Amino acid sequence: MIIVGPSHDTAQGGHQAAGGRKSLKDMTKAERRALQEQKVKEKQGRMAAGLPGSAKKASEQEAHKKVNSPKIGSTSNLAQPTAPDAGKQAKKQQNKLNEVPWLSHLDPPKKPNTASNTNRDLHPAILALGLRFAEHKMVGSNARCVAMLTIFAKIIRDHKPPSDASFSRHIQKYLDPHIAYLLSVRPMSLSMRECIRWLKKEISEIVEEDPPLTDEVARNRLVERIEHFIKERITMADTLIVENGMQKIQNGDVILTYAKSSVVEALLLEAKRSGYEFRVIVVDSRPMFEGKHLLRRLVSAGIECSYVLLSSLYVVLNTVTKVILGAHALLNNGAVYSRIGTAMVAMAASDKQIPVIVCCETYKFVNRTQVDSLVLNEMGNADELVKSSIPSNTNPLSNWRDLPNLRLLNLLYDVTPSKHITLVVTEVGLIPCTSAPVIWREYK
Amino acid sequence: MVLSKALESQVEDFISRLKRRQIVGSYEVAKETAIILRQVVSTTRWSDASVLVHVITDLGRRLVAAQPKELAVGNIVRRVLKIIREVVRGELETDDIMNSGTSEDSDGFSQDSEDDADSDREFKSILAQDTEDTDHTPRPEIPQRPKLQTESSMFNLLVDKNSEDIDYSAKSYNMKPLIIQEINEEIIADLETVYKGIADQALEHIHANEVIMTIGYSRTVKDFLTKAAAKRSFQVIVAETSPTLQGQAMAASLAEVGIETTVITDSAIHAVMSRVNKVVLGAHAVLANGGLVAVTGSQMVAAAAKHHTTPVLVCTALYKLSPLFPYDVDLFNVCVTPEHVLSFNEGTLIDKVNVLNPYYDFVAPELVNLFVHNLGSAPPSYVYRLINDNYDLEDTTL
Amino acid sequence: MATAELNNKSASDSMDPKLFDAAACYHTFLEDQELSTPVATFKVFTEFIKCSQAPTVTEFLQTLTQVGDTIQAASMYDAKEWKLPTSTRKRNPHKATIATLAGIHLFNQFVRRNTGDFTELEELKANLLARSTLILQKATSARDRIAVTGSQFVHDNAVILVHSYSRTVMSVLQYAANVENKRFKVYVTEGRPTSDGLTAVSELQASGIPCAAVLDSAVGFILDKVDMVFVGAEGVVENGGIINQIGTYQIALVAKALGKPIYAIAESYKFVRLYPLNQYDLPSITPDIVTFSNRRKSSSNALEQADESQSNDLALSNPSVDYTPPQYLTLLLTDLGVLTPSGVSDELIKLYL
Repeated sequence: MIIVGPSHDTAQGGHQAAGGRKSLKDMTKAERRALQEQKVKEKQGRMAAGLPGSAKKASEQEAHKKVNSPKIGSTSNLAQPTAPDAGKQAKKQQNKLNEVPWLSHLDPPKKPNTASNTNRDLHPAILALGLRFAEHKMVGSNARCVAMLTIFAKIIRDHKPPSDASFSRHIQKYLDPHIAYLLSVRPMSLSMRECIRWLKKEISEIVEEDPPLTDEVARNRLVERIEHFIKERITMADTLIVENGMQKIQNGDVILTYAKSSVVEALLLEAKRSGYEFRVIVVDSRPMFEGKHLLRRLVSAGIECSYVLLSSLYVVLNTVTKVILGAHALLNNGAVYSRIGTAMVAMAASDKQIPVIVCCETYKFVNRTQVDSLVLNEMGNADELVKSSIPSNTNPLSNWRDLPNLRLLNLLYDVTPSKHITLVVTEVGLIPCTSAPVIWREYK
Repeated sequence: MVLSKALESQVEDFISRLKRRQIVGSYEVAKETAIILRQVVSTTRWSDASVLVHVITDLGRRLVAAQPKELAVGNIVRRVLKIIREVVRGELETDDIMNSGTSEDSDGFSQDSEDDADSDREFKSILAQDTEDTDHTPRPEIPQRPKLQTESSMFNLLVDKNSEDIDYSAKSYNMKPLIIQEINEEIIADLETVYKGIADQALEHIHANEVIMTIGYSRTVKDFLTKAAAKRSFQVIVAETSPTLQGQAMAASLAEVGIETTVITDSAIHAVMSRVNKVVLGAHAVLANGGLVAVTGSQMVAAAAKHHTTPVLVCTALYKLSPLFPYDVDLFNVCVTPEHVLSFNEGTLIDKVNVLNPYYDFVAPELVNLFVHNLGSAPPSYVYRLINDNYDLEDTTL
Repeated sequence: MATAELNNKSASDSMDPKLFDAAACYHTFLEDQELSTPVATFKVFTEFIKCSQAPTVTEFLQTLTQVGDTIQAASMYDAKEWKLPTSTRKRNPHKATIATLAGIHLFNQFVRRNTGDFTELEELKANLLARSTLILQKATSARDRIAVTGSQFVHDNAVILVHSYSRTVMSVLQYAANVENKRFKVYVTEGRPTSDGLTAVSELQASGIPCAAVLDSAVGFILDKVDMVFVGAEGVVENGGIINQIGTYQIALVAKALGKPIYAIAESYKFVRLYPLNQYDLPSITPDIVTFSNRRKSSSNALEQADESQSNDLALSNPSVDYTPPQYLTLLLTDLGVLTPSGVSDELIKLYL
């Protein structure tokens, strides 16, 4: 596999950078030279890597890649913006964006490169979607997956293969840059990767079809499959999860939930519609305040709600009878990968013997294991932390970039160990989270 | 017994600031309390110590009632009372007050001080007995105390050789300057050196290349880390402490003194804890069971640390130790304006939602590994003893 | 006191029976339901001093030790059994031997502290009597003081679990309800085999406190609904652990697992210089069940016997107390105030060193 060598090198480069986490101006000449060399090496490595064989590899490569490359995944279809000035500037900024030495393996938050002509070969719909992803206007793993798959269906429908290739053989090649583009604007959620893995399998099945399908049949079949996936694994799954979850709601419950999950919201609203009497405590956190959106909907449905910040969690915990959480992915070791802060809520609740219920569609079960929250994660924009929740107050860190020793870290996810999870509600029933690998194998 | 007019207005002013939470933070509150009490001792007319104890207890009760969450007020009142009792005992038993008085506190946990504390107790039970038995003195009544306060131990009865009658109301003219001197040296001067006392132990607890997590803004913790940073290089991760963002201010001031500092959101505490090898917390108050009242979010940090078996140190001055127990965990908490949680701009929403913004957290003693205080360090299981050394059991309930 | 009468009764075989029958005196005192065992023990000693005719201080002290031994022996039997010849006596495993031990230790220490100053026996005796009167006064008020301390921990709308019957726990609950007008609910465990818990329930109901009895085996089920657990103690040992009626250890373990606070409520005269390592390191009767030897016998007997005696046998072959290590206790509420488990050792060290 071609990318092994170079990506190994870059990983080492990452370690070096980790060792000397000084700002550029503090470095000695030798160090600076070393850094320079290392960057050159990396670049060569990336060039050598060429087009990644699959989105999976692309994403892996993305994860391995040294952080201070502002460039999009190394796909040959895309012209590489190598203007030296732009690069330098970006590097300088990113030094401040991600200096946390033990997180140098993570990508810094990215800005979509919509203006340049690099994207001229891409379908316009994906550019629009990328922008919404990048600006965090579209969040939540279900919403992102559905949007991505819908756009892919659209791209597939609109795709006209060149005269010398059949649709089946060309569509994969055509989709790759689109996938790479999505990766370049914001790292994909684990469930999105799982969706792409599924889509590739579908495509390869079409290719292997004997006798070969006509373009039209192949296209329709693929589009149909995608629509079916969205319906069955996401939309219908949510309905079933709500149905299953309702078994566990009783009159008089005080339900605590954290941030916002579309399926938890659906469950709570449905419980209210069914006439259950219960109270909800919405726990929220800076800087995203996603819980506020949930709060608004629950309140307008007439549910009695309390609202606290995560730091006051323990003060409200005494009255809570159940904790219901959403998930971004369920890992094969039974851990839940979810919005940062989820681990803390689950830990606090399980310490108090309060049942912790996670609602998760089976398409989010991924073949990946992780015991901490740092190996794989995503970095948000550090400047988000500087926004004060009270507009009048000036933030104590508004000048944080001037302080050489100061870093701001805005992680987006964390991993909740399985010991804190009582129950996972899926569309196939109520399961213990340790059965995650069983479900994953069933649905592979 | 009334205070002088000037003093009374000063007290009123202090009380109203306490009530409005215009004066917040144990240090400021403790200092002001100490200064007011010193003035009471010096300006009030008192013929014997029992009157003084009565006046101070009365005033103490008023101050505590003004802001029951600022436990430092009550702590300082109890310290002053203890000093008075010590001086009285010293006066009556020997003339060598200075020795008995100072040796005890400069050296909180040596064997000597335990003996001292012991003899204190004897003294107290004698006092208690005295106040019960003697009705011949025309002095004002010592405030009635619930029975449990009449100092305890059957053990003391076993120890007492003879029930000598020490007259609590004995007149003494040099007591006043002594008490004032003691308050100056033991309490006010002590307050000024607490930060240094704690910071000086930093190198005993922080090794090179550590990753330390803290939350909130605590001058004690800041001085502690700054002192360590002078000799050793290490990193600090600060949870931003929403909604006050005190943690961000803390981070800024740590970064300014050259410590490598990373700010994280409160939600990332659990995620990042796997990188942390020590947690250092500040405290608002430490309770008698070794639990502490601290800035909201502290319990989360301590609990996450417990799950990662990361040691938790608490830097606290001795005046924050309170002889009270967490009878009810919410007892010492205070809810402040919810504006910072859900802005008042969200008018329609805020009407329908119960928004809570507690200021403090209660951290259970089993989540704490060590208290570093201005005279040394102790595990939570020893806190009760520090409290016995610092306060008179009779004053637990003011 | 009926010492004169007691003197005439025979039976004690371990000491000088001519003058004083410590065992009978002990049993008589214990007939008073409100009197706790250590206090009864202390009173026996006081009575003994009154009628002691030992000629010298040394002899006096020796007889005191003998009295202690007798009380300890007597504490294992019912008054009726004690009067039988030694060989036919049946031990009652439900007798509070630990509490007796605490009383004996305390008195011995009391005497040791006070003998040094006196060479004249009569002077010593007078002094001891005077001081022990004071101590007994204090001891009687201990429960009232605990009630004040303990009721601080009872908050409105609390649900409290109580294990079986304990006089101190009852006094705390009564005080909280009747004096401080707090509203709370109580679950009481049945407390097999004595089923003392049912007594507690009727007493609480009589004072208008909502309460219900639960099976000992239902503790795990009920504890989720409970805010705090109160248990009494036969004895509080050196490390701050407690020895109490069988079942306390189980409750403490469950409470710890579920994160519920558990408060041990005990008078300070129950502090005893023992340091048990585990359940089998107690100075109480170690029942045969631990070695399995008697079990077969009892079950074979059971076949022939009626149900009642079967359960009686079961009770006899089971221990009456267990030891709860300090790490499972949240706090101890005593007449000395609220103590952390480590504070107990502190008090004991002060007393005995």
